[in-house]
Amino acid sequence: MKHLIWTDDLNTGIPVIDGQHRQIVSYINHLHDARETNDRKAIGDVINDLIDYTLSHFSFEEELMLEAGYPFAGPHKRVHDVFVKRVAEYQLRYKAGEDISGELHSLLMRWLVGHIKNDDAAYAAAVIAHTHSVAHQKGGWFARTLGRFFR
Amino acid sequence: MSVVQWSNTFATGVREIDDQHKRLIGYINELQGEAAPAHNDLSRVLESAIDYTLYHFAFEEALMESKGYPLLDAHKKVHDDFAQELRALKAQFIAGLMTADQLKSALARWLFDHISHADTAAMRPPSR
Repeated sequence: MKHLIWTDDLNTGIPVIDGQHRQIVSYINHLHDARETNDRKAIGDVINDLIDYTLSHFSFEEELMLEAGYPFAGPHKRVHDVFVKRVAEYQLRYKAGEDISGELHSLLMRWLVGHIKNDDAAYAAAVIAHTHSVAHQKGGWFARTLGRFFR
Repeated sequence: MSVVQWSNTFATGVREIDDQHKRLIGYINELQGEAAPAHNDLSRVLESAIDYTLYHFAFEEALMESKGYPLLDAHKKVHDDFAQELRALKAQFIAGLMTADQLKSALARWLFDHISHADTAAMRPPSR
């Protein structure tokens, strides 16, 4: 199996989110490389890093959606929770000695592309519109902290 | 030719849900390539279709919950049953007990059923 290569159609229009997605792509590719070397410890480390990073990415997205008043923020969070649970099960199986890294790798490849192209495209417009409107009001913390990330 | 085509009669009035239904239709149509796709490719599409169906169910259930929808449990039960059926279909397909055509018609049948049972009032987003 090959590396995932970033293509422009994966951009959401929110640079900070795109940066996080690229980081996840790089972790998925690390997982691929670690599998090639058959180094059990390296594979376990990448799985842990990937999960940690994805969790914080989800929290970040959930906060953005709430801030933007996106009406489907709740359902999106639920979908994140379901996915986290699924990946955590793989992590447990790995710790128990089962070799799930191939299965997990293909799940992540499928998931990332779907997550970006569909799930995130749905809220991106709301977040971008919100950021622009907040950017026009002086002194909002959200605009101050995040405004610079947006085009 | 597509097996299933989106029609306005499927519209629930909630864009997010309609988009998700369209994507599910997309997966079913992907199973129906012009040139018969290889068994491996079909398995991959099937995996993605299953992933996405579970995603879609979780999304719908959270939406209904946030509306205090009284028939939530019944809908959840139908979702759980179908998720189980999907896993069984996948196992049969991988074991070669089911042809690609049988798989496609089973999925298309379910999708029609699912969309026509969608309770559109329960899907409207929570008021802000």
